[in-house]
Amino acid sequence: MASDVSLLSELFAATDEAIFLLAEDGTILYGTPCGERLFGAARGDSLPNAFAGPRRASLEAMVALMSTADPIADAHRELTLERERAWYSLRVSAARWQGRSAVLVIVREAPPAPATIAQQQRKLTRAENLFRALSDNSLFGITVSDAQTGKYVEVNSTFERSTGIAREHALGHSAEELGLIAPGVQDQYLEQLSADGTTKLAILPYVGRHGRTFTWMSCSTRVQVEGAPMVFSISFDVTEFQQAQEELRESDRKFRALFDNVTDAMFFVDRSGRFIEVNPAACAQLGYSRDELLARSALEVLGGNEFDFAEVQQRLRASGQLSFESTQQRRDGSTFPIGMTLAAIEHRGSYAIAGIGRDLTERKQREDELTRINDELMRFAYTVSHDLKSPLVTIKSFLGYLEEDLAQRDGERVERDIQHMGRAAERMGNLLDDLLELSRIGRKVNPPERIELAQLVREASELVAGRLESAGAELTLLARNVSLWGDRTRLLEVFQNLIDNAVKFAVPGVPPRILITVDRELGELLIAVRDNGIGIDPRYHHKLFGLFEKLQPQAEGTGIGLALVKRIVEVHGGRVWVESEGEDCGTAVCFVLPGTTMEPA
Amino acid sequence: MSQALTVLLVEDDAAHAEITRRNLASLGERLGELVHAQDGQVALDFLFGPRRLRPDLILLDLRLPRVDGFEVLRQVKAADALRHVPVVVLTTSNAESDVRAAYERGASSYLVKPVDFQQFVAMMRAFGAFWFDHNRWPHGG
Repeated sequence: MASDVSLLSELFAATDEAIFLLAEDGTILYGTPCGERLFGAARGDSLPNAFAGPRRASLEAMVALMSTADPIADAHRELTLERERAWYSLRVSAARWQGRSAVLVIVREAPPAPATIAQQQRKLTRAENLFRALSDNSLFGITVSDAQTGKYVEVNSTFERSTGIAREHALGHSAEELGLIAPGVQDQYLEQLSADGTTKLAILPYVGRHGRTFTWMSCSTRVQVEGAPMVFSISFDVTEFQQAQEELRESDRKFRALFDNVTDAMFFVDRSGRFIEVNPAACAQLGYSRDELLARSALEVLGGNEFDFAEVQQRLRASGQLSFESTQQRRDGSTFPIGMTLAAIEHRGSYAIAGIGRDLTERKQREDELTRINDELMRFAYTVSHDLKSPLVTIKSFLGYLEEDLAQRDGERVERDIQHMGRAAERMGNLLDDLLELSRIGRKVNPPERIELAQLVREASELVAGRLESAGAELTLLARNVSLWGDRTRLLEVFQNLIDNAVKFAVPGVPPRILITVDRELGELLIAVRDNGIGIDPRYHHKLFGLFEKLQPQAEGTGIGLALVKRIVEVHGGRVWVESEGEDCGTAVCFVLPGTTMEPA
Repeated sequence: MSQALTVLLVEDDAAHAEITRRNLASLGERLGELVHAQDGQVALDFLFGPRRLRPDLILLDLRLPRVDGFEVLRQVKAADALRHVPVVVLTTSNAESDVRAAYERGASSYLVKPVDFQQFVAMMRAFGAFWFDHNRWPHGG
């Protein structure tokens, strides 16, 4: 028996098995050196204590069972326990030691139970699936790459979609190699990352497979994976944001260009009445610099006018938009008509006013001009209707008398009636001819040309040569080297009319003397056609240029001559007037024509 | 009793003057003298010049050479000696502004040419009778 014991001791000492002999309470009575090495438990320690966790109780129960069991009947029990993440198979047997019940435990390293492996496997698969799902369904491009080379170790499906590069083609290549980013950018980025190990944010342009460009905002961190430095990146496609932002900037630039270059004043006023922004036109219109306006309240600058700013604000709040015309004061106190359009807008979450002011000076001038022309037209229509009606009245009346006189067989009166009617009809024809002539002047058909005054006067006098000769008139031009600029035919008409008038209104028995002079007055060349005729009472000067105005009812013609002259001169941009001291003082018709030149003799 | 009317006709159109003259002839002996002025200035000369014409009636065209009818009307109505003389406007214009201006300046009547002289002469006769009966010629004539 003793030899058995010593043999056993030798066996125990030599074995690579962890074998323990335990007392009833689990205390180690004897352990092999291997057991002591593996579990750090020596004689006197509690073996169950060496196994942590809830299943330690199983071992305790097993020891208690075995220590009371019949060693023959109950041969052994098997138990699998975990200790520090390693699994052990314990074979527990009842034994006797020095007359006492004892328990023999043989411990072997063991693979975990198949059930546990499956469980672990499921857990792992689930985690991986979750990660994959998260990664692939994420809007973020997720990549893992080598921190030194930048070669992709893992990419997700968003990466594939964004870049157009399949995962299997991407792995093992860097972004630069794949042509996704410009050369050099990647190295710089990796360098920065390695420098301080913190998470870096970068917005970089990428070029995808089919030339599609996009912008990625990437959040990258450098981490150690199994001793190798890796870069984890989460990237978000911000192309649309960037485009939207760029479009916004572009739109802003466009509006800015409008704002800066428009000729209307534009401004923004906040709810307190201060200018927020003004454009150059506003500064020019109002006579302030931009800084001066921004330092002032709109109330001060715009409120001093005809409109009540407080009331305007109130109406704006009610209707959102408001347009009105007013008189605006400039900084220097001068005023101008302004057309104002105001709109309520939102500015930084508060109420503000956007305003446009248009200087209406020119429009008003045009309106005035239009009113003047309209008035002239009304007068013209009035005159024409009156003067054209007169011959009709005559004809109609004498037609009645003609019937009467025919009935009475009064041959003499019949003849007179017919004469009146004939003259009226003739006069009507003349009036219509003259009207037609006058209406043609507005439509200057001949292109303007330079015309020698001497030549023009000569031609005009030839046209009225008969009248000049029979009146014994003398025509003198007292100017040399004068030329006019305009419609030759029309200007000829002017001189023809004026020379004709000078002869027509001569003092009976006095041969007409007609003098054409050119004088420089106040920088203008003044042309005058002077005569020694009957003259015109200054009281009637204002009527002279009127349509069909005749100072002498018996004078020949319709009275259109001077109206024609005036119209021609005005169409040429000039002006005409008459000078005469009165009866028997002669007359001078003077006019100024733009473009008239006089060379020094 | 049988006093004849002196009428001043201010008319630049010779044919129109002839028409008026012919129609007034139907007044017969009631029409004394018909003085014809070819324009407004001549009319004013008759009234305010040496002749100091005192007509019983003025027939006045509006659109006239030199001085127009409105001015003649204004001066007539401004003169004490002439204020009461009836002025009848004879014109081709039926512009409302002319009608209003004429009445505002004191015209007694406004007739648009061609004038229905039959009616006009009848009215003259009636007024003439009234004037004679009451011996109230505008200037006591």
